[in-house]
Amino acid sequence: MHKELKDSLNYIFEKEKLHEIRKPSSFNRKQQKLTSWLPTIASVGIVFIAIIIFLPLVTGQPANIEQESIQHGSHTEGSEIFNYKGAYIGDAASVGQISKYGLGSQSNYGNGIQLFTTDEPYGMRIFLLKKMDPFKDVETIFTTASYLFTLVRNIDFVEFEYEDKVYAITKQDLELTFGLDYYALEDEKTLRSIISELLSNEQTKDVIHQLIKETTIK
Amino acid sequence: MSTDIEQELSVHYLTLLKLAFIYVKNKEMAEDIVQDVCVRAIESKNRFRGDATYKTYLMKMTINRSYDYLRSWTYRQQSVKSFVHQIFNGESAEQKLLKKDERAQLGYEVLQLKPKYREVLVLYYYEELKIHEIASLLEVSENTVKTRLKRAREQMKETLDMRGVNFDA
Repeated sequence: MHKELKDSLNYIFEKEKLHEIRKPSSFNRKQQKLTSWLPTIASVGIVFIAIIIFLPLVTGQPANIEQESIQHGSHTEGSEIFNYKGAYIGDAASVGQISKYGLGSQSNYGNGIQLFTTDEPYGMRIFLLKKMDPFKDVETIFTTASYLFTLVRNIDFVEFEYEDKVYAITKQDLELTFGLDYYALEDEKTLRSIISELLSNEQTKDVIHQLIKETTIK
Repeated sequence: MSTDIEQELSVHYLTLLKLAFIYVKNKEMAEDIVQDVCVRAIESKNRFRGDATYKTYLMKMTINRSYDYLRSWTYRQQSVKSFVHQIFNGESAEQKLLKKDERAQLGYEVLQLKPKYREVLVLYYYEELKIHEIASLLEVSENTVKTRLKRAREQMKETLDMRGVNFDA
């Protein structure tokens, strides 16, 4: 482990050309540069803080969001999962953690993931050890996909594979059908509230089921 | 005295640069941080009490400065810029190649961990510091370091297993 990790990091440092950075002849010069930028940074910072303070008032977002009963995640705490927001589909570590969290109690049946990052649409496939039934497992499929669509910046579809069956659901289908904008969701409470609302209604649940496309691998 | 410090800074410059890079994952930002650390080290030369090596003292300053930077407006602005750049231009060919390169894979996965896990792995495996040295550097207990190391290894193993790469911690 020591050697492999060292070699790998050294290789990255080498590729990033860290070794080629020249030590400054005087260490005082940089301070002047930073100091000269301070007023600009400070003024931009003040504008940024003002926007953060006033934005909720302008958008009229309700402050009281209902607590939901859905409990997910085996390793990552609920409050932490949104730390992965902004991950790209190529970031296997983050995508893996989000999938695991979305699968919740079913995560024990996860058997690896495959990322489709070469061409658009980008997406992922979750391999399962347990047979999935789109009727019974619609909640698992929808919840996992919703977390991925909300947190991963450029994901378009999620697939679940068990033996010769693949169940797929796309972000576009869900967003168009329910008028959602997943990536605009900024906190887990709102996401849970949407998931819970759609799954608690038999009609919308049925629509979600219809959006899950089943294919057989030949 | 100032010349002695500048010599020390020159000796450890690359180590500090690599350390800062581990946090901010950007060469220019890392360079800014280390230069700032150097300036501060010269300015506060009388504050070094000599109860640790000068290298440790500089590493501690670099870590603190890196965390400041990660929390700063400048860093967030930079993140937004790189996000916009990625949307319009995608990753550079070099970045794509690096991500696919097997030799870089392990290191790249370390860089994807949260800073608190990333730092203990790097300090333990790359800098080869002892647990108590890491605890002192990060100002946490030895048990905290052990726990973070354990979790970091678990996360690495999990991710690399998913990608079919063998990981023996």
